[in-house]
Amino acid sequence: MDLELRWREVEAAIEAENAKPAPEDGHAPVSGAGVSESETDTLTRPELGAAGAAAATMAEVYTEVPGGAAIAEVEGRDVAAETAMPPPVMPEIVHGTDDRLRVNDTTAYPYRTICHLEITAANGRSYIGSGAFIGPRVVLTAGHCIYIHADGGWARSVRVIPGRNGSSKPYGEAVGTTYRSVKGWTQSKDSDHDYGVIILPTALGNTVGWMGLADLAFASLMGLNVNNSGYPGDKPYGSQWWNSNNILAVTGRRLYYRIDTMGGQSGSPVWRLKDGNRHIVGIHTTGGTFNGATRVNEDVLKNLVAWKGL
Amino acid sequence: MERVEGRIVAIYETWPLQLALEGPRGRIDVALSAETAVIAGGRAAAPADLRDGARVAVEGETTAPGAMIAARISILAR
Repeated sequence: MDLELRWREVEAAIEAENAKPAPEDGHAPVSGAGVSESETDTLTRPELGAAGAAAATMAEVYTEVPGGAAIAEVEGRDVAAETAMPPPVMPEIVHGTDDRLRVNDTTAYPYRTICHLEITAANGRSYIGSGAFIGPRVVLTAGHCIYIHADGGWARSVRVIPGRNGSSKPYGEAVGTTYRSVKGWTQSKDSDHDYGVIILPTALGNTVGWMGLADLAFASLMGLNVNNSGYPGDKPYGSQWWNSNNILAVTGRRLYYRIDTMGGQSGSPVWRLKDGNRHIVGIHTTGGTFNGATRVNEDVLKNLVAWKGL
Repeated sequence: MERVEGRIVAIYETWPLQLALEGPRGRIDVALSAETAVIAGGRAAAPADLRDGARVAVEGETTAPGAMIAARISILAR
């Protein structure tokens, strides 16, 4: 099937998704150990963490290339006026060229907030995933990293290693066994609701910090330059890889982009850098012809804000 | 060992991958393992060759109704 036909399929899927009613309780939070929920619709504040404060004391200069000279984290820009129409058929396929770059300094912000996940499923099978701190003890990830339908549901445990760089674990690790997700994922298996969090027993987030969260308008998201960094399984074990590109399509609950990803990057953050502030706008979940994320929309944001303080 | 056919509707990017298929009897959740063989055109392929929209046949172990662990995935049509 050629790319134009693929794009038509995506367009048709988007139209179908926009036409379908939202599940009545798709964003109703669920947990293996109880859950609560509150509401807000504002951007949340990023936090550099103790590692950032210590670095500042040492007069470390935070630049726009925190991952090393090879990485130029993109600045988000509002190009709504330029991209009001659906994007044209792309001249290349998403995985045609691998543009990922290794993050050499994973102790720099925001890369130290991004975590390698070693997942043990309910039936004992193992997976690799990614996540990002959003609070002192809370790591944002994909729903399918913590609730795996083919393997019996809630994961037995998830080992969380922030800022991992190969065998180096500069901030140690923590094992989470308590999770939050939503019924839209755990019961309806709906990719539109594929997100959740891991609650850790220790407040590693106070050391590494976290990015903010943002529920951005459709017009702000279309064409927006976004960043992604995670832990793909096809690279040296435990190495973090970054990439960036534009958002190509936006639905009420999904983002689609040309960022190169691979298995293992599920749960990694998709973030906007603007005016020096970093906000997560999506949670990477799916690959294929067009890679995609669960959008941080109003419903997602209100759950994450409720969970980030747990 | 069970065999099902379906169309890939989602590729979840854990490592190994997870797939959602739409089959004749509804959705099927498929988990790959490091040992899962992927075949395309009678030749060995890679999990990275899987694409949403492709028709595949999955042979593997059923873990629950509508869920299985794949031993072999054959790409029937892209």
